[in-house]
Amino acid sequence: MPTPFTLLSIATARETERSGWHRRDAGAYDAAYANAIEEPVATQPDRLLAAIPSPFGRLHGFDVAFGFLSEPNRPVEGESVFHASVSQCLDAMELVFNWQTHLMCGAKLALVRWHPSQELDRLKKGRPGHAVLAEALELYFGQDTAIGAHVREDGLWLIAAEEGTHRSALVVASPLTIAAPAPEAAALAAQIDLRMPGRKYVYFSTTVPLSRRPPAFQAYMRALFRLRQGALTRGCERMFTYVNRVVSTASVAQALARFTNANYVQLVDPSDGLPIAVHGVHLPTSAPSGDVDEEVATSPRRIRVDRPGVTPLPVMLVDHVTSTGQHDMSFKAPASDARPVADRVLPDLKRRYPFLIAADLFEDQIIRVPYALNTAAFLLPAASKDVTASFLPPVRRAYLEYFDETSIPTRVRFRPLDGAGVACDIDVPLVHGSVTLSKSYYPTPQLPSAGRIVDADVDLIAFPMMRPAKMEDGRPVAAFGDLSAFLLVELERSQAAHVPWRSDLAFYTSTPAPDGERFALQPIVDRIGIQERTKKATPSYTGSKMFHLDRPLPTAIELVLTEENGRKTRALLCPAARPQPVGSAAFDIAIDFGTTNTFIALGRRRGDGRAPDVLPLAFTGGSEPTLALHAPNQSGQPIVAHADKLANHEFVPLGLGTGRYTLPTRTAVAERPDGHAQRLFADINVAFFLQRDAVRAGAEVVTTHLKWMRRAETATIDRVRLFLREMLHLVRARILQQGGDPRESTLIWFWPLSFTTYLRNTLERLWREEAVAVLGVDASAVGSMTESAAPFYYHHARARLVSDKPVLSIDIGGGSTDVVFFERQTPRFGTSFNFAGNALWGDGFNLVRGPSDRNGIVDWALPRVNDTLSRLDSPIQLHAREILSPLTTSLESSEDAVNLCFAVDEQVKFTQQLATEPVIKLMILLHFSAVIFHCAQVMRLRKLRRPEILCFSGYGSKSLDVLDPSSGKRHLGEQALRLFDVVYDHWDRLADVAVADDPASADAIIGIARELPSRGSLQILLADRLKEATCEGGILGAALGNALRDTPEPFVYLGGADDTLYERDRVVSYEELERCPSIKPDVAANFRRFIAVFLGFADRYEPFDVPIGTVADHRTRLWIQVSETLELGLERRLKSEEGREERMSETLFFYPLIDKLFRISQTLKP
Amino acid sequence: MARLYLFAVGGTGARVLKCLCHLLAAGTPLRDEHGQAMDLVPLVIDPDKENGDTLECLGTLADYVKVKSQLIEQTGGGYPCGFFQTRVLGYRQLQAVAAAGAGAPEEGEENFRCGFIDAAKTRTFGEVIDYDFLESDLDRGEPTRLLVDALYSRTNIDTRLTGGFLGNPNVGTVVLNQVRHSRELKMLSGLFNSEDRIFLISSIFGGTGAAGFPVLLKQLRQARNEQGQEAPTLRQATVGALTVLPYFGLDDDAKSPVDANAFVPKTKAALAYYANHLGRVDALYYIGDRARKRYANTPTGITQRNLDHAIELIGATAVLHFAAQAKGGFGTPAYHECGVHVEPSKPFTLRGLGPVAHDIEEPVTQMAMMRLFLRGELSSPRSVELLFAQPWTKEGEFGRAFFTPQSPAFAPLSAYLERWWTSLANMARNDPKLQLFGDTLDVLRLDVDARRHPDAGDINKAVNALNRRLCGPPRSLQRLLTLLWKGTGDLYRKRYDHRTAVGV
Repeated sequence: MPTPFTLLSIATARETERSGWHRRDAGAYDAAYANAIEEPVATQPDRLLAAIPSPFGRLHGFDVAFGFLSEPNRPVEGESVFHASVSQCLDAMELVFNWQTHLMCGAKLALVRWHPSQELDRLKKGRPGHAVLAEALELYFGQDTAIGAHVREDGLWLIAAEEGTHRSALVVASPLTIAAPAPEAAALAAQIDLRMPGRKYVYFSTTVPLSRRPPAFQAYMRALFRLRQGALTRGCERMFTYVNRVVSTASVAQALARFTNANYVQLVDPSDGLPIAVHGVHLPTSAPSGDVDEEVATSPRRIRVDRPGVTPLPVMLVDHVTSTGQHDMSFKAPASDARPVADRVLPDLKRRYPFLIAADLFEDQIIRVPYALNTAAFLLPAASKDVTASFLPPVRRAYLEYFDETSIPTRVRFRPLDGAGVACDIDVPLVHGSVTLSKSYYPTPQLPSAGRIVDADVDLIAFPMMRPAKMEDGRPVAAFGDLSAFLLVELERSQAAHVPWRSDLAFYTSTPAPDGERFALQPIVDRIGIQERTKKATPSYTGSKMFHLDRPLPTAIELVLTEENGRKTRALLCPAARPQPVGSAAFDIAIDFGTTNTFIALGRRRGDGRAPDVLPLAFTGGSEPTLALHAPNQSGQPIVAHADKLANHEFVPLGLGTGRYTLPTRTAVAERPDGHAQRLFADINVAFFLQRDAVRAGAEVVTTHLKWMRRAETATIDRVRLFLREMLHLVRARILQQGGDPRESTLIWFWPLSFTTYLRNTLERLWREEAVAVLGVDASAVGSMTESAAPFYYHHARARLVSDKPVLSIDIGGGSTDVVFFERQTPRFGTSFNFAGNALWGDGFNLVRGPSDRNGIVDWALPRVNDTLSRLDSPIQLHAREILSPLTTSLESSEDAVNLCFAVDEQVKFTQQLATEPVIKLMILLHFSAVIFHCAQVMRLRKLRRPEILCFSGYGSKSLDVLDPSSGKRHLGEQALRLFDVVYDHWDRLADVAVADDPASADAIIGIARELPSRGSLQILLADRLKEATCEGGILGAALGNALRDTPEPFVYLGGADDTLYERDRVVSYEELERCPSIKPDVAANFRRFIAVFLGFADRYEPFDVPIGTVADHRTRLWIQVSETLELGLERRLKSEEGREERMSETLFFYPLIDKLFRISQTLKP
Repeated sequence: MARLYLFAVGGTGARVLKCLCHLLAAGTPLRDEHGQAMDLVPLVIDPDKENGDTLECLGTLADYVKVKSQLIEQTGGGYPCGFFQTRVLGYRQLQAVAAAGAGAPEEGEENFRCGFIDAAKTRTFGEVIDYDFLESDLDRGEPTRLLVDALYSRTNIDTRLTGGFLGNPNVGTVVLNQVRHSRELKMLSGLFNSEDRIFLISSIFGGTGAAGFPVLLKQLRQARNEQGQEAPTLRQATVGALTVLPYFGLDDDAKSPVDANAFVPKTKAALAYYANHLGRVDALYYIGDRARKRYANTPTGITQRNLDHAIELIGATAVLHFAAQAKGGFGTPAYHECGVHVEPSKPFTLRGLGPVAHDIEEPVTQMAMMRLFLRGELSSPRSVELLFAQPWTKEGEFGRAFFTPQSPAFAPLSAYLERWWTSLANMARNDPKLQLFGDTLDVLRLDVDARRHPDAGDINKAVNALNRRLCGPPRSLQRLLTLLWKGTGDLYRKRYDHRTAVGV
């Protein structure tokens, strides 16, 4: 038996039969020999990968490692350096596999190509050290066939991580293993937190055999070789063998079956767009995967959303709880993530899956306002009871993507913190349980996670705070005529003028989501108007900005504060109004657009044919369409006071209809001083405040006298249109509130018979256009009625008039008096003249208005009013003084001045004071008598029966109360009857009595009149709500079914001979009047005959407390200069008409009296 | 005379070369396939300027050459002596001899060393390749810098080359590639003749050797002359190589850049790489050991001077084996390994190497006898008196001055003998189981069986018998060495040789 020898070798098997040096029959110590060597554990792969004597030793090292693990008897799993090396190489391949996913996830990775010839040339020409490198690389390219040939052909590509302008190598191509990780790849991956999609570990950090990698990747490796056999398989033989050994076809059959080109995209060199190749084979990478790990897809940390269509449910990430709900103290939720939620990559699993973090729901800073909030108007966190300041919700819009805004009051809370801080908590419901997110805010935060409190003197007012919606398929959709307007008010604390705006608004609306579709919150960028209404340079330093949306109330309003450094702070304000289905009730709308005041009435139609219930337009408590961010009764705060004031002056007043601002309102608009009346609210609004608040000098311009616009006054037409529009929006809001459908409405508007055709046509067009746009009605639903006729129906309904009685309806407005005679409920004729309240309280024919030329009543009244005021309690006095302040601060017309006094009638008892002055009562009696006398003359000429009832309405009729406080106005009825008697029974005789300029020529008629017997009284009905009578009457008349079509036949009696009674459309023109020289003298004579009759009844004016002496005092004044004043009146009238060729629209009878009344008033001056 | 150009790369290469030098000093012949003596042209390649192993090797070579050339050859011939019989030549010497030398002969002492040496001891690998100046043009993607980053770790880049490559052959390949620009390599194409051979010694598990071997091999196979033309003779040279596998360990030291645990995995990886990517080598010798002595973990510098190891000595015999192989017998290529006889529980002796030991044991035993004899005779006044009472000292006119430490004739020999003895004794100490010379050395140390082993008297007797037969100059080192070579040879053959006695 031969002596056994031992080999001086490191192999386990060392027995040999030969001693000394001898040839080894098995040849070289190759991989098989090496594989038989036991190696110690705990060796780092880097040691191994540096062991091979080649610049590409590292690449060989991975190849060698694959070779070792390809041995059938080698365990697939293990901790050896070869297992670790193979795992790292597989990680590199997985990085290639997941390339598209990582790019999509925002990983800063770059693909770089190394071109050997190009780069070696550069190196050789470079520094000495570069030449050293180049020589070594070149040597090995020439000698290392496994590397060199393929590198020369394909070059080498590298995957680098980018950090700013620096790149670091992560992976390099390898002709031996397709890809290989760079030495620093593990550290780099940890540094940039480059994690395996769907798994928790960072690349290159964990040893994982191919068999425990995702099936899709295993299939990729299999398919890579299966589909691309040949060069790749030969070049990467060890890897190929390993893959075949570890991954059986059966184990990945399902994944392999999915392996189609559609699953992959080619890895492309970004510099030239050419595919990246290894061994000439274009390398595929996995298409971005939408696969979601089951673990995540069923995570209990998914949020439980209120909104439809949110799939998949995002995971809520917080510290110490992983995506899948595992408690892990090392897990830290990202502080921020700029990517869209859908594009995010779970930090622990590196799988693209939507998730939310606290920063998605919390604003970085919080806004604090110095008042309590209106939780009825906005969806806000519950407020603390002791509130001197309030925090606006620091909730980001993202909240609304998942949760209904109505959840804000219940899921969002504030907690006070020490150090003047506040914490905001948001309860986020999860699939299992919930999680409460918190963020702290301090005036001066110390921790990076805390936000700053930003104080803002800003307030917001919105109209209309309601969300009407048609119902379609059971879902509310936008209605019609939608308008949402917002008034943003900012009080600049700085006293410097021209401080730029800090606050702004942005609006977001939700698109109704059809079944299964995703709820979407979208910014409103179109059909939005923004206008600075009150510039912040005004003395108050308070600015207002109007936002006007031609669309329904937005889902959310974002208040945005911008600080000087550009930093923005946002608050999410969601209106509390819920979608309100449009009801089915039908309403009749009547709007009396009067010269002085405007009134609106709504009649809810009944189904039983009965007359509708007519009510004035009013918003009862809780239904006000205008709401503010501040809670009611917060006026102690300057910003709130300013906001309230601006809302009342520039917007729809807060509490309209329930407090100080009610209808009827003055027919007036307020505009921004430097603007054009083009956009409602942005430029102009109804001046509800007029006669209630002082006009803000310099901040607004008030325009009255809208009704009697001339053809050339286009600006006035625009004002009227916008005035009507605002009114209709109020009407629309009220109808919707009452369950009505505005589209089912009818609209009645009123016009005086004295309107020119132009005016009537113009207003008719405006009404129709605005009603169609705002209410959604057909044009046919818009009708009109004369202001003369409407009151009849009012009285008809109110007084239960016997329908067959002849009734004279007289509506005395602010600028015109409209008269209709009804017989058997049918209007028989109508007439209208500009002799109304203005004739009493106005400035006559004075063109120059000023203290010295105004109506004497004003001068008489002011000291009395002031005296009364001085005796009032302070608050009432203050309010009244505020209303009356225009009298002292601006040059109001006398008519407006008196109206101001009537506005505070309740406080200063203005009507009562007027009743104490005989001269004023004389004026009123003259006014009344002239109207009756003229009506009687027209009726006599029309051969109509005398009226049995006189119905009075209109704001101008208010003066009748001054004259006759008796119930039923019996004394006035007596006077009216006397006048009718004179005209009907004695006129033939009186008309023949000559009258001349000499006042004595009146005596004859005076004598006759004085002798006429008093035989009773005409019944007088004075509307209890003077202004409302027109509107209510219009609705009631319409309900009777004939009012709209039975427009009274309009007549104009110029006032002279009998033949000056014309049908309205046949009246002579102003030119023709000049060609008929007898008319004006006849009119003057007729007027004097009236004066004489009036004087003749003077001894019967005792019930009116008008002494005979007072009448006598003014006899001459009334008699003289009649022709002159007639001419003056004609001249003034012509100025308001369109031209001399126009037909005359009213009688000449009143012109002299207008002047006479003014002159009588002058006698009242101290 | 044919030459064996030997490249000892890295620390292990130097240690094996040193052992080879010791064998040659003892008289082991370096013969070619025809039995003709060969000249040895060694070159140590190691960028670690102060590597203790390398310096020891270079010192040994220098001492060898000194003894050989200055004290033996210069004193003239006439005394056939086995000790230091092989000529060890340096490139400078060859260049001086060559008629068509490449350039002017260099000044200074032969140092048997080439390759990149960082004299300033400051440069890192990154600085060598000007890493910091690699393309920083982001538009181009910094491709080369990224490639370097993909192939080399930051530690690699920052490695100071004064300490070698610290177990990173991938770094070494780039740096050692610069050896091609060394004067020695440039000269080689002009010096190399077809009967000459090349041998490379390196370890596979370290840094410098592992890197240098394939680089040198590739350079040789792509050799060009100084004019840039291909050098076919050199390219077709018969090349042998000794690849030393792990045979020692290192103490665990987490701070050390060298991890002994990585020796085996690195070896496995490198072997797998060699198998396919090494390039043509005619004979490859493998040696290593599973029973690995652990050394202190001093990877670089002058402190890296581990105890000599029998594997290195045995490895050195591969050179002798390769040189003697018939050129046509290598096959393509020939892979060799070494078997030894080891009996359990018994010390391992060189005889366990089998036939190889025959060429080693006798001269080494003679060298040992000589060293112990001289050392013993000079160790005390009494023994000195006895020495100078011997006829051979008298007749040879060796006076007391000859044997003084300051003697220009005797001192180099004495120094080399101590270097030699220390090296071999260390091998024995390194592994208590190892007995390099069986019982021979023990006898010479006179501490075992006095009955079999020669003493000073025996040696004197043998030398006296020889002295009279010598003709030549007296008082020469050559005469002394010849006397002792023959005397110890006779004694070895008489007392120990288990083979057929070989006459002097």
